Amino acid sequence: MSTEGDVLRGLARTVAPLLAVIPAAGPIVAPMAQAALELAADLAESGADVVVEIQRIRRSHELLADVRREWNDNIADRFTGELLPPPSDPYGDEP
Amino acid sequence: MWYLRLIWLLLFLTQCGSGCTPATLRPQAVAAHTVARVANAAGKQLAEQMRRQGSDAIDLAASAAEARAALELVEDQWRPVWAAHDELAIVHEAYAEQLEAGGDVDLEALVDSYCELRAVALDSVQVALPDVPTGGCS
Repeated sequence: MSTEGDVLRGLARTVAPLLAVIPAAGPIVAPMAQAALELAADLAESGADVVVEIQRIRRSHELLADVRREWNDNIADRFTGELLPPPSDPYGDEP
Repeated sequence: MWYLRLIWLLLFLTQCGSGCTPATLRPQAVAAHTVARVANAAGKQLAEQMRRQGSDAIDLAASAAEARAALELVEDQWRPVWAAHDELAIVHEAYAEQLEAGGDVDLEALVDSYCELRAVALDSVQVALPDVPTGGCS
């Protein structure tokens, strides 16, 4: 038998991909809607004894560390020839 | 998005003045938890959008120097968004600590901080985050 929590969790899984296809705001709104529905499911499942351990908001440096690392890797991959010193003559036959 | 409005409605239903009792603190904890989950979900998506914008800039660049200059512009464009996001995190942290200590909490400051992030995201990077119920951020 499905509980209210199961239904809300099912909704979260179903609604988020549908919202994600909305132009512009869709990719932003969908995960937020999913988070809200999953929270509602948590609350429904925990019933009257809701003991909420308050989640903290992640700071931007945590969120952006991987982004900046990936950008650096992209630049290194794309412009390797430019970043490395020009190759020396491997055969030593330049004048 | 009725469910987002419903969740946000909690923020308004849970307001209390200086006479908060344990019974009224619980929904305030739910409100704080909800703001964090929504803000964290939004933060991940905002970071992903910024990542894509930067990657596109690298693809269009003709040299490493040009790519780095383009990334500086992307960082400049997003700086106010992340400043508002971090400010919300600070206000939220203070709210949560106060709540956990059993003290009075300033829900209005928390909502104002979210509304500031919402306004900056729209202005700076044209991302529309949802409003609180009854157009509370307007």
